Amino acid sequence: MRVFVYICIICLGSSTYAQNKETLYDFTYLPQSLMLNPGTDVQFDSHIGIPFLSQIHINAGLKGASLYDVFADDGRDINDKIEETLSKLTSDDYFTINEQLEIVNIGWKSKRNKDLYFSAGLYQELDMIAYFPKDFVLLAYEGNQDYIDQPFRFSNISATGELVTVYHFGYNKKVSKKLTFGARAKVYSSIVNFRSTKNSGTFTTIETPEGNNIYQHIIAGADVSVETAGYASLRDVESEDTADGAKQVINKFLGRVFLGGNLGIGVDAGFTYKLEDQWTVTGSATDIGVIFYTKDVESYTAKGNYVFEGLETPVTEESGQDILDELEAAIPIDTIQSSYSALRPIKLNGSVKYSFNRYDGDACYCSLDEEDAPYMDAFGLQVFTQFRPRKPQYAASLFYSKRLSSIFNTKMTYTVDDYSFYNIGLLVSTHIKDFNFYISGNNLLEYSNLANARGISVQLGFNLIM
Amino acid sequence: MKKKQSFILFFLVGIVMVSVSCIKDVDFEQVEDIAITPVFELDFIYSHFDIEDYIDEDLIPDTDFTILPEQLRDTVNYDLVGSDFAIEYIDRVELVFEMRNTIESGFRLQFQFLTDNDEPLGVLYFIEVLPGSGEDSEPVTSFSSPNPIVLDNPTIQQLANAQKIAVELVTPTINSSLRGVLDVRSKAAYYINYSL
Repeated sequence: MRVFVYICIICLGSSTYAQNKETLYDFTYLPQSLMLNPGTDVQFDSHIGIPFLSQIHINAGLKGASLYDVFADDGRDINDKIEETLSKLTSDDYFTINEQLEIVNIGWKSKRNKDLYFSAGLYQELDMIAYFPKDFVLLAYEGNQDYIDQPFRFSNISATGELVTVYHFGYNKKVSKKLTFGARAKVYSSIVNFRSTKNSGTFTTIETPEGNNIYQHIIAGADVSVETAGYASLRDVESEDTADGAKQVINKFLGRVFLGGNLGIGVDAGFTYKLEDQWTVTGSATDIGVIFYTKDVESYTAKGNYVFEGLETPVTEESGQDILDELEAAIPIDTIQSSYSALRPIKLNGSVKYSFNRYDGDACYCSLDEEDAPYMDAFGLQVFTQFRPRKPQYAASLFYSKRLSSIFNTKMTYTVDDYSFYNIGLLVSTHIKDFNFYISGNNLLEYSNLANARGISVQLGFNLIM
Repeated sequence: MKKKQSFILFFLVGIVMVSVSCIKDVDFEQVEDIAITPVFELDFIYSHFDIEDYIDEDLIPDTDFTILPEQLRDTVNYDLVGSDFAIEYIDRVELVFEMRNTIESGFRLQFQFLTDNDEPLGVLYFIEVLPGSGEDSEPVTSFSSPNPIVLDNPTIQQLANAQKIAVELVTPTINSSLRGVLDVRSKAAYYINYSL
């Protein structure tokens, strides 16, 4: 149990927001912006991401509470703080973890058609969301004594997790001086997946003044399931508990990384449209895809109804009454190996940007090839949506980007989302000759004390941009 | 000059994002103080005793008779108190009995925890049932004394090997003209104290 609590602390400390990368979106100096909008107005001729280092993305957060709420060193009893936090959290609160690691990312302008830019690569992604199962946390933490006649809902249990590698190839075309369109094809190779999102039914203790006993404990319409893919074979490895167990797991994972996992397909699409010289509208939809889980699939379901009224005496059955046997018979747990498919969490991005302050000085500040002198400043509005099991997550950002010099570009964002109204983000990108390094983070106001933060997002990476 | 400013900015950002970021004013050692103390209320034993079921049809009305004790004695499986979890983490168990009687006779309900080999453990618990007012009358409700019956942690430890409960309704001599029912209803409240 203590280990579980520590794991929870670590998760709270490192769990992440949605996959919103508000500072990177439409930051056209970086090739990573193509991953958020394949229709980005590309500002370079080619790029090579430094393998494994071109984008390290960690995104952590918890909606509804922070570490500080529970672990504040304020002299108060931690149990009181836990109770307060529990009462504040709802079943719509959640924590998410999202991590991405670019393994390969390259891009090049077509030699035949300078309006075409191709990009391709491979990245690994871990994405998990778990809604706060408030009803059952209350049941475990407080018991049912204060919740007589109140149902504990199995629908509170909702979580998904995926470890996947993604192969992608992108196409970006300047259709006209105003419009750039892009699309990216993706092949997913799932390493491990689990989901438990369509649960229903209730557990209720009701008072029965005229009943056989004081209460009835009723499990009504229970329909709880957990689907897994890529887990069953790992469990077999673990059960061997041999020295080479870890090696076997790694080998299995590597096999799945290289298209040996459950496969899926997807597509990204996006555009950039210059309304006028200084006004730009962009939009993208990424991860419109599905993964088909056919290999190493194991799902568990429990369905049924059960009423417990206590131990009846005289006992009518010869072998005596065994509550657990009765429960298992009424709500059997079945293990099934049927295939399933799941949509990827679609992300939508959009922005309106106004650029100004065209550079008119020494050409040495403009190391990137551009037909026209670039605008040094821009501001605008971005919106982000990600589809999640229960409901979409939204975020809106005001941004200001500034090209400080040919070496430094920056972008600052102010974001309002599910977690916070005070989310300031900053991206700094440096170009020294062809070498690029960028670092970006949000929730900067919370950096002085991360325990107070509902979430933190950091991206950094190294590229060669020509 | 501009380059210099840019470098300063870059390093400032570095300082903000790397150096300044920290977790403070929190004390994770408080985990040691977490105590989870839920209270679970669950039905305990119940019984429906209709005296007519025990009166032989051939028996002459208004005749005194006795019901054989084994007819009203029963053993139910119950090992919750005897589990390792219960011994370690259950502070106490409170048993509440509610006896609703319409039979114009008093009874005694008694129960005892048993091992798997039917050896008695701990004390014999009993609840006196007040006489009712006759068939179809409002039932007379009796409770245990004390109410609730408390099994504290030392008692629970004493019952560590309990696997069953023997329940018996002790009846006095009964008149064959008596009619009515005795409903036994009960619940157990488990007070858990789980410290990390």
